Amino acid sequence: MTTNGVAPAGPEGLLDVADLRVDFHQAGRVVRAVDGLTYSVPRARTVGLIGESGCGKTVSSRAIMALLPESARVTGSIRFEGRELVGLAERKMRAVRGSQIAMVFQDPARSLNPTLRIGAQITEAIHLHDSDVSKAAAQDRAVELMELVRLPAARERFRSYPHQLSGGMRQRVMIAIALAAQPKLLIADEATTALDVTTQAQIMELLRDLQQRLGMALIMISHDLGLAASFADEVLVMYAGRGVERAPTRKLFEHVRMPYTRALLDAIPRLENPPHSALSAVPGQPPDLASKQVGCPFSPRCPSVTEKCREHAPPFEEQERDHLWACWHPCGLETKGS
Amino acid sequence: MGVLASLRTGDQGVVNEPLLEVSNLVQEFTVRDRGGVKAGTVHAVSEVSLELAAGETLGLVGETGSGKSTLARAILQAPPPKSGSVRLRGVELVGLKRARLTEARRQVQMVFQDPFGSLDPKWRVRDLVEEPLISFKVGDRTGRRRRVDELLDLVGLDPARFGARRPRELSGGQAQRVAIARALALDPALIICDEPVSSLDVLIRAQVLNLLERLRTELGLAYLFIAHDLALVKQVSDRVAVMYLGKLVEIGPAQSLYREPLHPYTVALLASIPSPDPAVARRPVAETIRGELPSPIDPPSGCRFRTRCPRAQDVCATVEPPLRKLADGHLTACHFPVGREDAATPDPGALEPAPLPGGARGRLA
Amino acid sequence: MAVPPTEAAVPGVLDPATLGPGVPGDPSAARFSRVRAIGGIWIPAFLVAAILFLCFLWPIIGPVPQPTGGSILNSNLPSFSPGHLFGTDVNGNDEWSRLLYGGRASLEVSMAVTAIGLLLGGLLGAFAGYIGGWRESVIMRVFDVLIAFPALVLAVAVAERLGPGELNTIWALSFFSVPALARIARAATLRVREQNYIVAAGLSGSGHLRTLLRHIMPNILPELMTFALLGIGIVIVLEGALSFLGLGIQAPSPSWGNMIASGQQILSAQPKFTMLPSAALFITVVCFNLLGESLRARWSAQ
Repeated sequence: MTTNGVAPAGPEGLLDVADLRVDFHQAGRVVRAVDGLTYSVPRARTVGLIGESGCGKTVSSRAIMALLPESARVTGSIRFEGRELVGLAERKMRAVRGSQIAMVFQDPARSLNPTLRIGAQITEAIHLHDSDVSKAAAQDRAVELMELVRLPAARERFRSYPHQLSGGMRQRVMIAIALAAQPKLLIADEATTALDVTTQAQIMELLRDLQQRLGMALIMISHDLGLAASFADEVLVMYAGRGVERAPTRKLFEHVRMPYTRALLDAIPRLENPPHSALSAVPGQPPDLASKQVGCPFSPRCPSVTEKCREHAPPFEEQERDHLWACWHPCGLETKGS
Repeated sequence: MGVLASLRTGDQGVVNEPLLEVSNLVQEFTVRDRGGVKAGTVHAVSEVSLELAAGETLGLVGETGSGKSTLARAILQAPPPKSGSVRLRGVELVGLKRARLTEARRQVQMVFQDPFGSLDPKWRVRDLVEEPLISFKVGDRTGRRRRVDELLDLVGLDPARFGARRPRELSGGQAQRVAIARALALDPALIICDEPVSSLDVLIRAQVLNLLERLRTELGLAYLFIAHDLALVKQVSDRVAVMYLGKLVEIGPAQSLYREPLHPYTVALLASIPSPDPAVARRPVAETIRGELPSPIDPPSGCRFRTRCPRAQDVCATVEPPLRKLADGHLTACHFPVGREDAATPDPGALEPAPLPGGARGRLA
Repeated sequence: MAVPPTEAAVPGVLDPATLGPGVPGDPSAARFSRVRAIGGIWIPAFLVAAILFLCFLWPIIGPVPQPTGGSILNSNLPSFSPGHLFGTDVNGNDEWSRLLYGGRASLEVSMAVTAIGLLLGGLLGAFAGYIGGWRESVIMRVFDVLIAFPALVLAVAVAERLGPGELNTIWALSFFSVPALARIARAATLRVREQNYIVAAGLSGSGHLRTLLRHIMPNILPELMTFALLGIGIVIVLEGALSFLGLGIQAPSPSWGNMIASGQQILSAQPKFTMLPSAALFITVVCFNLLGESLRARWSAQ
């Protein structure tokens, strides 16, 4: 996978997220789910958004699609092809959603209507974005899409119900629906997490293939760094609502800087490890997003923590060429004073 | 490690009675259509045999429909298997009546995948951990309370802080620790872990896995560790068994399985693992496995993996491959094992699954 | 197959993955606002408490005359007469008092019936759901037969057999509440039974009885309670119907049902004799329903 560096924030990027903040107001509490997120997605590239649950990766992608509940307040900027999406009227957003930016969710069983045949669900998506298309043309296009996502026996499967398909096949249907309007950006939100590992590999390979064929950009949201290593051009690691490290994939894995990323990497069981080897584990839990955070959010758990970390949150900036991170004591570098 | 090794294998001629001995286990479920009429039988577990020595960790890997969780439940007789034998320390569990079964259950406990599903949401942590002690009338009230505190400490939870909490006041990792504490209450010899960390966050996973490992060495526990993640299973296990569609397709020492996988399905699993090293070229998984999982109600004839196997040949459809020993403690059920042309079976007539000494199990005896 | 990690139990950490895709409204927020719309659980609870207080306690401690044994000399006094807020009936009995004592009778019946339903029906249904097999079939088929009858028809048939009176009314209406709650209990038990904590309890050595009482019952109780509360309203109306039909509670003992019945004859001349008990019945049923609904919303949002 060749990369040509982190995409600059600017009109060349397909999607530019700048200082995104999302607050949830519930029962008098404010939960800051996303706290100043900045990244770009270049055309036809895959960005892996990696983090554990509660880090804000899903919320931020829902913010892009304007699919957040009413209790959410979004500030900052999300520019798609130069056009600002934050604050856009729902009517206009609907034209973007699905046709320009599409999303595939985690659990295909819940995302598909169990009472409609899958063919109907795909043609519905086609109709939504091209109301003039004839029924026959829509059907043909639907079968085309099903073949594109490598659903075996597409014509016959057209009339199947979701429950007659396996998890992997349902996810392919979801992808077909997402591709119906030929979006420029596809967001795959833990799209393979609920699938078997062999199916996951098949689906990820399919997504990569499609991306290359259709020239589509892909945001791959996952908790699995290994998946990002294999399929993303660029990786952004999130923690407690913030971006904490970002770099082209190979560079990130060769020179991990942020201790959290290091911890994530070390926590992955490796096939090469001998049996009963201990996994290096970081104690503690992700922070409570309802309470105000002072200092670096990872400081309670970080092995390299100092007083400075607890008091001042490190900024997320480009520290080496194409490699951004937010840490006072990055791994593998001399500490430049504390 | 040496002690465990001699317990485990018969290399030195030491044949210890295995802690757990499963023979030809069969579990089936009847599927009924809407009218209540029998529409088919799900062959969830078909003639699976394996053994587990005291203090050993046997990993069990498989994907959806493999039957691994069903196997675990069948071992625990919850529900009892349709046929086959399960011997725990020599005592046959299948067919055991209520009281005797309950008594036998002290020796083997289970930790489930969803920590919140396995803890009664209305109960407090302390009561949850105490329950096994009360059911088996262990000690008196004070003694039990003390043991509960001990157990909570053992799993890294401060009894003062967590004792009175309800499951919904716990995080995933904490809840799983409570489940582990409960499983340890009766001092079992074997704990069956059914995907114990799959629903936990990555970093928390490492914590809980390290806890399980520590308990293993401190208490001499044996584990049947079930997961779909082969890398994870390999890391924690001495031996690994691979299941597909109700059948045991490969079993052997963890390192052996990784270095020289014999069954094409194992190869596919290995290829599917996302490697956290972008420099390593990945073999496209499409080369290793094709198509979709067949229905367990009507599994393919002969070798059940043949419909997805890139190496399948005619004989695979007509003759079911028996589990054969191809290396030290390493068995597989395949007519054309990977990298072992010497063991291929071109002539179906010549195929006679000869019984191995000690039975066709994952042991060298 | 991996179940997605959630940190839902960690306070403050949200898991919007539980939001349906493309659903702009957050379901639990919607439920929460519904609870708020109903006034939380405190307003309906307060109203129900007020009604219970009025019907049970107030006649004992307050200046409420007896509902029976009035002098015919006082008959048909209009509302707001001194000492008679709502006037008196044709026999000289204070109408306000009749309302309260009538309410007491109606509520006694409905609460007793519901309690019997919860105890008998709840336990039997839970047992049936838990044990399965032929025992479940037998129990549920018996209840199915009873449920097949329209509630009122069944109640009338039994009441007819047993005769009038408060106690007999309670038995008669129990033929309705026991099967209904048994159904709910069984359905809830079937769901709970599949949970791993039940399997874990079995592995911990918990016997059937213990599991049923200590694990199954506490977990189906919220659902049972909410239906029971909604059921109280239904039973009050049924009792009213029975009394209206001349079964159930007999005059001169007041119940809202027989008050409505007797008031019906003079509806055009003196509408208040029907309107008052009807209004009381209506308000009470609504309050119980609100309470049941808000409890249900709260318990399912948890």
